[in-house]
Amino acid sequence: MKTKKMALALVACLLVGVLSACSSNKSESSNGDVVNLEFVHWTNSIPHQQAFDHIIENYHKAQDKVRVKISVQGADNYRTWMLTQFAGNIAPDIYQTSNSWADIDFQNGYTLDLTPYLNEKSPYTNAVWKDSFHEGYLNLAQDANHRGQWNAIPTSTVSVRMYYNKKMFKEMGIPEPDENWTWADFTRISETIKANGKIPVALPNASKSDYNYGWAIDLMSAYLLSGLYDELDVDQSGQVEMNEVVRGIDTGAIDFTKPEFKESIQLMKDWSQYWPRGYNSLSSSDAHDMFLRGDAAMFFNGSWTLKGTELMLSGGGEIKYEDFDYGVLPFPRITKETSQLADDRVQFAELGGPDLMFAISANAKNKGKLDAAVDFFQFLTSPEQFKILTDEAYNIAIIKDIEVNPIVQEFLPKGDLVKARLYGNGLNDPSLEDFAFKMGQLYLSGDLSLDDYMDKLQREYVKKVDQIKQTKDLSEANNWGIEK
Amino acid sequence: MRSLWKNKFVYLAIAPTLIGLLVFNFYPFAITITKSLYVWSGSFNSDYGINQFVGLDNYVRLFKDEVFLTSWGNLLFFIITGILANVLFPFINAEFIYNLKSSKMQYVYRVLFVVPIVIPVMVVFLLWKFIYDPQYGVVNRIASWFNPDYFVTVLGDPELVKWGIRFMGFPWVGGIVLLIFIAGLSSIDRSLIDASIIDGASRWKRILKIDIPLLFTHFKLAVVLTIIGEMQDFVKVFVITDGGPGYSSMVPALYMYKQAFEQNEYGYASAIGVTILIVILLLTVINNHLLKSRTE
Repeated sequence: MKTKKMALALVACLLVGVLSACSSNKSESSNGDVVNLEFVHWTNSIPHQQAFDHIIENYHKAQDKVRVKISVQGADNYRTWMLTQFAGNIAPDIYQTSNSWADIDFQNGYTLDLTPYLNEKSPYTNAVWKDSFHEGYLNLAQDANHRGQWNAIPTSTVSVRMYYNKKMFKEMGIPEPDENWTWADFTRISETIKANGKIPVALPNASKSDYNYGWAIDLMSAYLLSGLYDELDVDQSGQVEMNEVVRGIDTGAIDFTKPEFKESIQLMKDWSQYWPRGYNSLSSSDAHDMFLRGDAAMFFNGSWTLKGTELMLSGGGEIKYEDFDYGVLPFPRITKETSQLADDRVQFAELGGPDLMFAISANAKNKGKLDAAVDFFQFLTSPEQFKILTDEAYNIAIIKDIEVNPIVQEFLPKGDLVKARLYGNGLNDPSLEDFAFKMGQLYLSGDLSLDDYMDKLQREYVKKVDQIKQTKDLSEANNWGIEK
Repeated sequence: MRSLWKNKFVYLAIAPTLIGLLVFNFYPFAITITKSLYVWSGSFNSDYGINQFVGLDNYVRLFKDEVFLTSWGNLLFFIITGILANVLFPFINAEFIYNLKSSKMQYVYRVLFVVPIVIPVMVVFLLWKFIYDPQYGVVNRIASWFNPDYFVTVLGDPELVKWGIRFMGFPWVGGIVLLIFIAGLSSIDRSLIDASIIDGASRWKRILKIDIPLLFTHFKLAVVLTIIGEMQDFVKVFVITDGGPGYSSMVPALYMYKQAFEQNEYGYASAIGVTILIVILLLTVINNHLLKSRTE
C-alpha cells in the first residue's frame, strides 16, 4: 500500500511538472513597486557594453522605481533570436533594431508606434523628446509605409570608409591619396600594390553579413544611376522608398537587364582582381586580420570598426602592431574617367543614415512596463548620458548638443546619403537581399554570367513586387501608395 | 475496462511520459502540418502577426521555388556520398577490428574509433573551417609546399564546396554505425566462419559470402540512419557556408530554418518541414523494401 501511495505521489509530481511546463509564461511585470525592464542590443564590442553599463548604473542612481537588465545577443543571429522572442511572446521591453525590421515588426503588431512619446516632453531635457535628435536623421527613420510615424528611434549614425595602411603606401612610393580620390586613382594604386606582391584590398564576401559587396554596389550605383534615382524619388523625400521601388519595377524604370544597371556589377567584377584569393569564403574578421597583419593594404569597413581597430593596435592581443599606421578615406568617386554613366555632380556618396535604433515591444505595453521603457529610453538619449557612448565607444551621435569624439572626424558624413539601395535591400525584404548577394557570389566566381545574374535579379524583383502589390493593394490607380 | 482499472498504476506511471510525448512531439507535429496551410508569422497570440489560411498555396510555391529545388539536388549529393562514406568506411573498419587476433587490441581500437563521438561537433566544424581557410588554412599551406602558385578555395568554389563539406567527417568511422557493424559481426555464428576456413575460403570471399549477406539488416539500419541524419542535419552547412557560395550548398532543412527564423515565414517553413518528412518516410519505405527483398 505504501509503495502504491509513493508511486501515486511520484506520478502526480511528474504530471504537475509536465503541466506546469506548459502553463502560461506570463512573467511578473513588477516586483513590488519596482519595474524590471529588459534591454537588449547586439553591439557586442566591450567598449559599447561598458558604456551601456555605465548609463544604466547612472539610471539606477537617478531613480529607484525601474531596474534595467541589459543583455547582448550576437549580431549574426540577432534577427533570428528576435523573431523567436516575438513568436514566443517573450520579446524584451526595449531592444535594438533596424529601420526595415522595425517597419515589418510594427506591421506584425510586435512593436509599438513611438510617435506619441516623441511628441511628449522628456523629463531629462525639459523639451519635446523629438527635439533632442537631428531632424534629418530622424526623418530618415520614419516608417516607410506610414510617413510621420516612428516605430524605432535612432541614436547614432555610421559611415563606411576605406582604411589604408599608410606605412605600406609610403614603402611602395604611393603618394597618400586625399578624400577626392577617384576610382581611376584607386585602381592605379591597387595595381601598384599588386605589383609589389601585396593584396590591395582585403574584401570579405563569404556572407551577406559581411556587407562589403552590397555597400560597394550601392555606392557605385549612386554615381552611375543618380539621374534615375532622382526620377524614382517621386515624393522627393531624398530617399527612394519601397513604394517608389515598386512603382519603378512596375513602370519598367527599374530593369536590371538594361545596360546601365549592369555597369556597377561589371565594375565589381573588375575590382575583384584586387581582392584576396578565396574572397567568397573570407569573413570580415579574417579580412580585418589580413589588414592589421600587413597582408593587405586596404580594408573596407565602417566607423564601428574604429574602436576595435584601435584596441587591437594598442596591444590588447597577442600580435603587436607597433609600426602600424593607418588612415581612412571615403569610398573612391566614380568619374567619367571610369564610366560614361558617371554623374560628376555627385561629390560624395555616403552610406549610413540612422543607426543604433531602439524600439519598444508590444510585450512591454502588455506587461504594464511601457511608461518605464519610455522613461529609460529618454534617459538613454539625454545628451549627458549618450555622451558616454560617444566618448567611450566612438559613436557618432545624432543627438543634439553632443560633440563627436575627435577620432571619428574622418568618418563624419561628407556628402549625401545614397538615395536607393536597389541591388539588395530595395524592398526591405531580407530574402531578396540574400538572393541578390548569393547570385553576386556566383557571378564573381565566374559560375554565373552577367546576363543570367541580372535576369534572375529582375525576375526575383518582379515576383516580390507582385506579392507586395497584392498584400498592400498597390497599383498605378493609387499611385502605388506614394503620398506626394 | 476492468483490466484498465486493474492496471491503473501502470497506466498512471506511463501517463507523464505519454503527456510529454503528446505535448512536445505530437502537438508540434500536428501544428506543423496545420500551419503549412497558412501564411503564418509564428505567433500563437492572435493579436499579433499574420495567420491566414491559404490552402495548398505554400506547397505550390515550394515547387516553383528555384532555391528549394536546388537544395534537394544538393541534398541528394550529401545523401549518396553520405551513404558511401558513413556506411562503407565504418563497415571496412569494423571488419578490420573484428578480425584482429587480440581481443585486447579489438577493445582498444573500438574505444579509439568511438571516442570522437564525445567531441562537440561544433569544434570539429570550426576546425575544418580553419583547415579550409583560403589565406591561412592548412590545405593551401600544404599545397604551396609542392607548388607555390597552387591555390584552392574549397568553401568559396561552387564546384568544390559540397565535397569540402562531405570531407569534413573524414575518416567517417567514428560513431554508432561502426558499433552497429561490430555488433553485427560479433553475432555471426562462429561455426559458419570456421566452416568457411576449413573449406579454404579466403578472407575476402568470407566477407562477400558470409558477412555482407548476414549483415543486411545492419546495412539497412545504417542506411536509414544516414538518410535521416543527412536530411535533418543542416548545422554543418549553416556554420561553414550558410548555404553558399550562391546556393551551392543549401539543403532543404537549412532553407526551412532560414524561412522560419530569418524570413519570419513560419507557414512556408512548415510546408518545407512536411515535405522533408514525407521524403524521409518514402526513402525509408523504399530502403526497407529493397533490402527486405534481398534478405528474403
